[in-house]
Amino acid sequence: MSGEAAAGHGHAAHGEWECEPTPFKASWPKVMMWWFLIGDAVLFGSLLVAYGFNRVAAPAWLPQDKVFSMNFITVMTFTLITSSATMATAVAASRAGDRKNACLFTMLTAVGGIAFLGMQVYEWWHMIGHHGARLTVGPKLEGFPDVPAFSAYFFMITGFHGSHVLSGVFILLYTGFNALRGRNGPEGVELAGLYWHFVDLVWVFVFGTYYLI
Amino acid sequence: MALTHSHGTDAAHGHDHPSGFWSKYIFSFDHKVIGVQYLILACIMGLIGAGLSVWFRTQLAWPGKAGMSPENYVMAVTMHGTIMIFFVVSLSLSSGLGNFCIPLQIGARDMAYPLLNMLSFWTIVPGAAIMVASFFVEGGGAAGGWTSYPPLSALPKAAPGSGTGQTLWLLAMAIFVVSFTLGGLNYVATILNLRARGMTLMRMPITIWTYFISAVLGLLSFPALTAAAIMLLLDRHGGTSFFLPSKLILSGQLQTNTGGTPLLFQHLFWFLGHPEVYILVLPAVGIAFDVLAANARRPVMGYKASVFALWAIAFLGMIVWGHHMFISGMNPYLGKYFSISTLIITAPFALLGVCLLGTLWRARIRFNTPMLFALGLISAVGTGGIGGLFLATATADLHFHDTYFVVGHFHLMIGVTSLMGTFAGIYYWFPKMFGRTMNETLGKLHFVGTMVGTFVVFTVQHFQGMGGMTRRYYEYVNEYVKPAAALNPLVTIFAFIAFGSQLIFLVNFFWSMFAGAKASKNPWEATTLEWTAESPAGHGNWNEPPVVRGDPYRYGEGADGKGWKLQTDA
Amino acid sequence: MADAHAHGHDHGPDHSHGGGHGHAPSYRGYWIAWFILLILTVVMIKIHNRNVLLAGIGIKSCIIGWWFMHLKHEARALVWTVVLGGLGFVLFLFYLMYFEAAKAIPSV
Ligand code: HEM
Ligand SMILES: [Cu+2]
Repeated sequence: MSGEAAAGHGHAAHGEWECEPTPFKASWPKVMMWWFLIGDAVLFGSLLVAYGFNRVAAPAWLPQDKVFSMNFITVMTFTLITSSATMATAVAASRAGDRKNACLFTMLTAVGGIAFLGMQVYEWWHMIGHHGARLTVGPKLEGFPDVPAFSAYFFMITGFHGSHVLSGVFILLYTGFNALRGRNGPEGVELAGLYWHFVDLVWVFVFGTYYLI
Repeated sequence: MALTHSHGTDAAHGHDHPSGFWSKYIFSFDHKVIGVQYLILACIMGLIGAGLSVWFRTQLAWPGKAGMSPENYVMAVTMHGTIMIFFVVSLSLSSGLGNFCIPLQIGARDMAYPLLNMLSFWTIVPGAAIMVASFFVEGGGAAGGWTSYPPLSALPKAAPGSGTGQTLWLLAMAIFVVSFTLGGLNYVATILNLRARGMTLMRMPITIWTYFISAVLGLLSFPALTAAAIMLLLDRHGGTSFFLPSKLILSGQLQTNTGGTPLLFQHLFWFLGHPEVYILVLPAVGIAFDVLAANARRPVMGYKASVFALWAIAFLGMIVWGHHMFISGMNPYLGKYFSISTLIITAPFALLGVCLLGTLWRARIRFNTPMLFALGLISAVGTGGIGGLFLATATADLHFHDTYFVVGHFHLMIGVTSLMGTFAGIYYWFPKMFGRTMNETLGKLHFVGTMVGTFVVFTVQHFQGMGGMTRRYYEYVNEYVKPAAALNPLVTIFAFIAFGSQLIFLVNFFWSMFAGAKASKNPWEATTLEWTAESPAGHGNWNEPPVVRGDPYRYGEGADGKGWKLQTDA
Repeated sequence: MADAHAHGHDHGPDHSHGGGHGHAPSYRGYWIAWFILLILTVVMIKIHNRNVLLAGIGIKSCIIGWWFMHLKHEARALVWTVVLGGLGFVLFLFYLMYFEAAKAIPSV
C-alpha cells in the first residue's frame, strides 16, 4: 500500500481532493517541520558564526577546560544523546502501533530533557556563582585576562539552546499524553521527534565549537 | 506524500461556508480573505510610509519649510524605509497577493495550514501597530536607518530615536519575522504538497515559482536577522559588546564596551538584507510574466530558461551580501569576491529580462491597466539593473556608496518594480477577488502618474548621487553639492505627482470593490487555473477538483478558433 | 484518517523498519547509533586535536540526521535541501567571515 501511495494515487480515505506527488515525498506537516528546522539551523548557525567570528578576531580567549568541568559537560552530552535514542525508539514504537511504548519512551525523552535542563541550570549557577561571570564580565581565572565575550556568547548560545530544550520538553509531554490516548498518529510523535533530534544536533555543534575548540 | 492527509485541516474549516461576519471577514481561514486583509493593511501602512516621504521631500526641496527638525528627518527616512519594505511591499506583494493566488493557481482548496495562515496575519497586525506607535514615544521613532547599524542602534543614548523608539522597532521587526516565517512555511508546504492533479512543477505558472523561491529565500535568510536582533537586544539592554568596539566615545564619554565590531552586524544584516530585496522583487517579476502572456496573447518565451534564471538569481542572491559593505572596512579580498559574484547575478537577471521582452515579440498587445503596469515593470527592472552594475563594481562604489545614486537604484528596484508588479497583480486579479473589475480610466491615470512621477524622481536621483549628494542629509549646504541639490525641488514635485497617483489607486480600489462593473469568470481570457473558479471564488475555490492537462500559457493554441486554451482543457 | 495513520507513514517501498502493523519494530539500530555517538563524544574530549574535533562534529551530526531524523528514508530532494540549506549556507557564511574576522577587530 505504501508503494501505491508513493506513486501519488491517494486512496479514497480522504477522497475528494487529490494532489500531485510531491518532490519531498512527505506529508505537508512534515515538509513544514523540515523547513522550520532548516530555518532554525540557520538561526543557530548565525549565532555560532558570530561566535566564530569573534573568537577568531579576539586577542585572547579562556581555556574552556579550566572554566568548565569537562566531565560534567560530557555527562550533559550523554544525557541529550540518550534522550535522542529514546526518542527514536518512541517514533519507531508509535509507527508500529505500539502506543504504550510510544508514550513510555516519549516520556523518558522528556525526563532526559528535564535532566539536561537541570544540569544546564547548574552550569549557569557555576559560571555566575563560582566564577563571578556576568553577561558583561568574563569568568575570573587566575592568570587570565577578562574576556567578556566569553560570557556573552556562553549565555546567549546556551540560553537559546536551553530555551529550545525547554519548549521541546513541553512538546514531548503533550505528545506523550496524546500518544497514550491514541489521539495523535505516528506523525505527531514523529514531528516532535524531529524537533528533539534537531535540538540534539544543535548541541553537537555547540559542544564541539564552544566547549572544545 | 500522504495524500490522504494533504488536507488534514479540512476538518477544521470543513466545507461549510462560514456565515457570520466575524468568521467570514475578520478571523477567516480563507486564503483569499486573508490575502485581501493583508492588502488593506498594506494600504494603510502605505499611506503612512508615503506620507513620511512627502514630509521629508518637502524639507529637501524647500529646507526649513516643512516644519521638520534634523532629528525628525532621520527618523522619517528610517521609518519610511522600514515601513515601506517590511510593511508595504512585503505585505502587499508577498503576503497579500501570494496568499490570494497560490492556492488558486495551483488548484488547492486553501493553504496547507489555514489556521496558521490566519495566525500569521493576526501576528503582523500588532507588529504594524507597534511600529506606528513608536512614533509617539519619547525621543520619537527609530532613527538609525532601516538597516539600524550599531552603534547608533545599539546604544540607547546615541541619538533621540535610539531609545524606546529603537526598542519598539526591534520588537515590531521580531513580530514581522515570526509572521513572515509562518507564512513562508505555509507557502512552501502548499506549493510542494497541494498541487492539483496534473499540476506538475514544470506546469506551474511563473508566479508560483517566484513565490516558492522567495519563500525559500525568506526561510533561509531571515534567521540571520533574528540572530542579529537577539544580539542587538543584548547589546542594548544587557550591556554586552557583540557589535560595539572598544574605545567608543559617545558625547565625550568613553564607553566601557570592549571587543565587538559593528561589521559583524552589517554582515548578519545584509545576509538577510540582500536576499530580502529579491524576496520582494521576484514575485513582482513572476506576476509580470503572467500578465504579459495574457495580454500579449503569447506563451511566455523561455519558460524553462526563466525558471532556471530565477533559481540562479536566488542562489547567487544568497552569497553576494557583501556588496553593501565595500567601503565599510571589510577585508578588501572579500570585496573582490563580492564584486565579481554580484556582477555574475546580472547575467540571470538579463536572461529574465530577455524572456520578459521576448514574450512581447510580434504580439498584438492589449494595453489594459495590468498590462501597462507589467510593461512599466520591465522598464524599471532594466533601468535599476543598470545602476546595479555600477554599484557592484567595488571601485565605482567607492564614489557611489551612500549617495543618491544608491537611493535611485534601489527605489527603481524595490519601489517601482515591486510596486508595479503588485499593481499589475491587483488590477489583474481584482475580478477574482471581488467579482468586479477596477475602473480602467482611473487605472490608466494611476499608471501614467506613477510611471512619470517615479521615473523622473529616481533617474534624476542617480545624477544627483554622481554629483556628490550623499543620502540621509537634512540639508545640503556645501558649495560643491549645490548644483546637484538644485534639482531637489524638481524631484519633490514629481514625487508629489507619484504620491497623488496612489490616491487615485486607493479611490479606485475601494470604489470598485462595491461599484465596479461585474466581471465574468475569465475577463482577461487567460489560461491559468484561477480563471476556472468563480468570480469571486467561494470558500474552497472549486466544487470539483480541477485537473490540469497542459502548460500554464496556452495562448495561440486550440483549433476551435478561440486561439487559447485553459490549463484544464484537453 | 485515523486508520491511514496506523499504517504508518509512506516512506516508499524501501521503508524497512517499523513499517507495518504488529511487526515488532527494530530498535536496535538506534541504540547502536547511540553507542557510536557516546564513543565519539569521549574521543572528541580526550583527543585534543582540531581536525579530530571537526571530524567528530561532522560524523555525529550525520548520524543524528541520517538515522535518528530518518533522512535515510527520505526523498533525495529533501536530503539535499537540508544539507545545502541548513548546513551548506552556514558553512559558507563562516568561510567568508573567517577571512573577515582575521582582520576585523583591532587588538586592544
Ligand atoms: C542587477 C542586479 C542588482 C545589482 C547588481 C545590485 C547591486 C547593488 C549594490 C552593489 C548595492 C550597494 C550600493 C551601496 O550601498 O553602495 C545595492 C543596493 C541596494 N539594492 Fe541593488 N542590485 C541589484 C538588484 C536589486 C534589486 C532587484 C533590488 C530590490 C528589489 C535591489 C535593492 C537594493 C537596495 C534596497 C539597496 C540599498 C540598501 C541600502 O543601502 O539602504 N537591488 N544594489
Ligand atoms: Cu544587495
